[in-house]
Amino acid sequence: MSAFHWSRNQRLSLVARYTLLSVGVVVCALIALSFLYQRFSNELIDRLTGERLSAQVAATSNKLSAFLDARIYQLVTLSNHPALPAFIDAPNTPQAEEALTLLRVEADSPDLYGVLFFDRQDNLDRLVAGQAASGPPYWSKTDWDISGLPRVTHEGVEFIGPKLPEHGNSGWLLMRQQIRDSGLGQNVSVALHMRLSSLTELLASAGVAGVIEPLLRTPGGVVLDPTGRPAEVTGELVEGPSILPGWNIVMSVHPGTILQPIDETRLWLYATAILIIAVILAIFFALSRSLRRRVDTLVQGANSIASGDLYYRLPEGRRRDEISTVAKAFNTMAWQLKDLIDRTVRAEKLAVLGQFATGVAHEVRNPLATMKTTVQALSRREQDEERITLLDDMGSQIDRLSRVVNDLLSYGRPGEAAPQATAIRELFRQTSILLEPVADEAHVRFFTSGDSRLNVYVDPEQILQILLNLGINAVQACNAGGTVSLRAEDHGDTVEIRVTDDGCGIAREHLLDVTQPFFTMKSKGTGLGLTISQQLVDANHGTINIESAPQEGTTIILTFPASGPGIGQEEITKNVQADQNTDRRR
Amino acid sequence: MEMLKHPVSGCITIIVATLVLLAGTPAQAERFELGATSAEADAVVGCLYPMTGRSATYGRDSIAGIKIALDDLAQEAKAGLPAPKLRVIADDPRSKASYAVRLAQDFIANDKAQFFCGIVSSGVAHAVSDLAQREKIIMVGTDHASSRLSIEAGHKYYFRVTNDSWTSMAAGARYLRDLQKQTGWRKLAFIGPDYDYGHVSWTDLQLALSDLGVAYETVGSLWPKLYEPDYSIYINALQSAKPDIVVTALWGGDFIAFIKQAATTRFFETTRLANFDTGANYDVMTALGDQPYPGLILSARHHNNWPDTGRNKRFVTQFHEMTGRFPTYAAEGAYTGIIAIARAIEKAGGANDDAALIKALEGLQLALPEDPPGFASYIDPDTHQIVQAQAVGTVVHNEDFPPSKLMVGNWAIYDAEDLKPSKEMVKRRRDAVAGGSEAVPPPTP
Repeated sequence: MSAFHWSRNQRLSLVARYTLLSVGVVVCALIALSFLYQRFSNELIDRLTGERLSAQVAATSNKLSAFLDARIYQLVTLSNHPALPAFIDAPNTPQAEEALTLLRVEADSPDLYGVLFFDRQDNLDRLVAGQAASGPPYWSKTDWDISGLPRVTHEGVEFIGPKLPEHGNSGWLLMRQQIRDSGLGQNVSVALHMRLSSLTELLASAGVAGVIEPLLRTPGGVVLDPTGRPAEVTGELVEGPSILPGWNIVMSVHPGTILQPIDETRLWLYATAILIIAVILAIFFALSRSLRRRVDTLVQGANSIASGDLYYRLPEGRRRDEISTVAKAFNTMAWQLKDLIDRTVRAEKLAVLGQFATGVAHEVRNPLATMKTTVQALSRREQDEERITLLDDMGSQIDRLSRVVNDLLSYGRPGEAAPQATAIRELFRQTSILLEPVADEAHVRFFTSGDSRLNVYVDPEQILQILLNLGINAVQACNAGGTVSLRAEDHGDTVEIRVTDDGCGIAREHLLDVTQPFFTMKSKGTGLGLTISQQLVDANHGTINIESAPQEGTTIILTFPASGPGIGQEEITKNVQADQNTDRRR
Repeated sequence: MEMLKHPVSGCITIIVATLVLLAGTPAQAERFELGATSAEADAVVGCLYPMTGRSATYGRDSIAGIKIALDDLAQEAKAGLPAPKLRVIADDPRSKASYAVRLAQDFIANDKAQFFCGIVSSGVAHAVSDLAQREKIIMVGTDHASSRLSIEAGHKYYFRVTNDSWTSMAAGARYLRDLQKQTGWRKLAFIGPDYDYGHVSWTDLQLALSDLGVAYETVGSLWPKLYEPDYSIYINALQSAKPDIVVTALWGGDFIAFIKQAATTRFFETTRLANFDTGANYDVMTALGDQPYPGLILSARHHNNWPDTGRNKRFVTQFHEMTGRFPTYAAEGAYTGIIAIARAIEKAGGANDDAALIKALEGLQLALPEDPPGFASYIDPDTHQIVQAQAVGTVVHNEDFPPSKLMVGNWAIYDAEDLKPSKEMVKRRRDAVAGGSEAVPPPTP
């Protein structure tokens, strides 16, 4: 079931579609190629066995016929020669000598073995050996017998044979005709003893090596090859024209000789295509499995986020492929989503608390003012030192309450920022003026550093308040002898201000809570300083980050938009010089 | 004897004839007259050699060989030895039996020839041999090789002083026997020219292999005609038969044409080609160029580089000095023919007694350039065939005989007596045709 489910998913997947497309293209190409191959093969066969072959066969037939015509002419010339009867009947006469000279010349023809004479019983009467004469009947009468040989007649000439080559002797053919009757009643025939190969060699021009072999079918049914030997017919025989009664050209066609390599190539092509398809499918399965695994991770991540786990992050891996890009985008989205949710929650929380605090502050501030006025009036009139002390304590507590109320009001109604180009130097200077006494009192060393030429685009009052809040927190975090510093650094479009102390630090578990309203680690804190600072930073389009380690110290990193040069170079130089002097003093 | 009286005039005649030959303007287009004049000659020898066509080299070299022989005889006469004065007439039968018979008849009638010599083609030689028998003219054959001429068709007037097809095939059969022990070849094919020489060579090879007990399978025998212009169908047929070894009796230009055509195919990749009778001829070596085709097994009736004897070196040097080129085996054959006739005349005491001449020729010993050290060729009294040793080898680089860059080397030497046909075989072959159609009906003259 799972396999079916899986395979169905694969079929529907993009990878499956691309794979099917690839396989489809390969198969289509294969079908097209196969079609072209088949067409090429058919055309090749047509060309080899078609019109061109017919023309070749016709030409070859003409050659053989012309060769035979020439021999027929030669024979007829001999058989009708006026001196020939004398050669038979009167051997030692001048006419006989004349005939003999002629016969010797004719017998020396390269296509003849000799000239033979037969009596009416087919017995060999005499012969004239040519230059090529060998074997029977010139050497021996053994194996000389024409009685069983096929005979056909053409144009008045008797063709006897063929006598096939055997026992080391060549094949031959007799062309025989009665010699002209000179009135002496001779019944003698003269025959040309012809090389069989001289006839079959003419077949050679009609063939196509290895594919079409021209052969000569003889009256006995034997088929001869171009060397004049009986051929072993293995291919298809195509009948050709006749050159003599019972003698005709046949073509042995072996298309396999030329088609075999083509067919083998085609088989290799199919095998290669099947291999390619198998490789594509294998790659598809591997890719699909890998993709599915990674997509499952994405889905799991999405589900985790959906179920509220905003801290879930996908493994991005080292690859730079599409899935990694998606994973990175997913993680970015998760960060931004968490940030958005955090901001929204905090904003809503602050709004609720702000409304509450403002309401409480309004209700408390006026009674406090009355109480303060009353306490001050009572104190002025009181003579008793002890009571005066009590009243002063009460006044102090009322002041403290007033500060709390003011903080609550600041928190609940944060003022709108009025950003302007503000010199860091000026900010640091004012902060130093206000903070140095506090630091001195706590025996904490305080100094500023960094590039005082920098400008930030902020509301100077609000930033001053931030720096004071953070500076006081830092001083309070330090023991006597500690150090608090302010440092400004240029980061291009932004300016970074670091408030650093080497005090007690913040425990890791409290790092996320310190900006929450009313969270404080000090016995006298309201828990609103950092919260208000955060609000002011946000209002000035800045960011606040806290780096801290217990017992090592804390650094609060503020980032604000940098401002363009709004202060003259001379003033900057002067300010830098003053800052350097200030640093040296401290 | 006349020569002894007028040695100078004989030499002049030779020189004049040589100049005429070298000038290329003989009195008659294809006729050469060498040696003594008809008036002073002790004997007239009528020779037939091809001067045109594919085998023209044989004729040219034979003429040069005859001249060397006449020079040697003149030198002997000059030195006081009883060397006869010979008049040698050479003409071209154009490889036609009819031409040859007519020219030979004219030699008898017009030139009063007492000897026939030469004739490269066995088919032509048969006709002339028949004429010699009828006219009772001694024929000293050179360079036609059908063993049938000396065995079945042999007669008392016929002699041959160059290796015949039996000798060559007997040597070849021994080479093949030894080769079979090394390579294990089994399939044999034969291709030879479709005339007497080709067919007899094949018969001789089969008989020689049979005598040696060599087991083999014949996969084909092919018979292109003499001077065949295109061997492609035969090469295709041989390749289809897939023989291990092809033995050929193609000779001269035919053999060269066959090799060149076969070299354009894959023939030499799978098959060894052997030519035991004529394949090592110098014109073949030259035609091979500088790349020996693999697997060639060759021999010939005379080699310029074997045997390494003073007699052979002297002959080759004489020929080279005379012609500016190195000789084919035809030169030594023609040389041998003239020397044999001269020695017979010397031995018989004159040229007028045929019976004495024949007796002199039978068993005549001749120390020839092709004889290895310690051996002299001799004419077998029964077959009238000269008995000689033969060397078979393969092609090696050798530029001692330019322009050829190859010669045959790696020799396997076979003793003359081993190559001689046994008396039993000669009798068997002669008995096989006795009373046959050779007698009835007889070949028309």
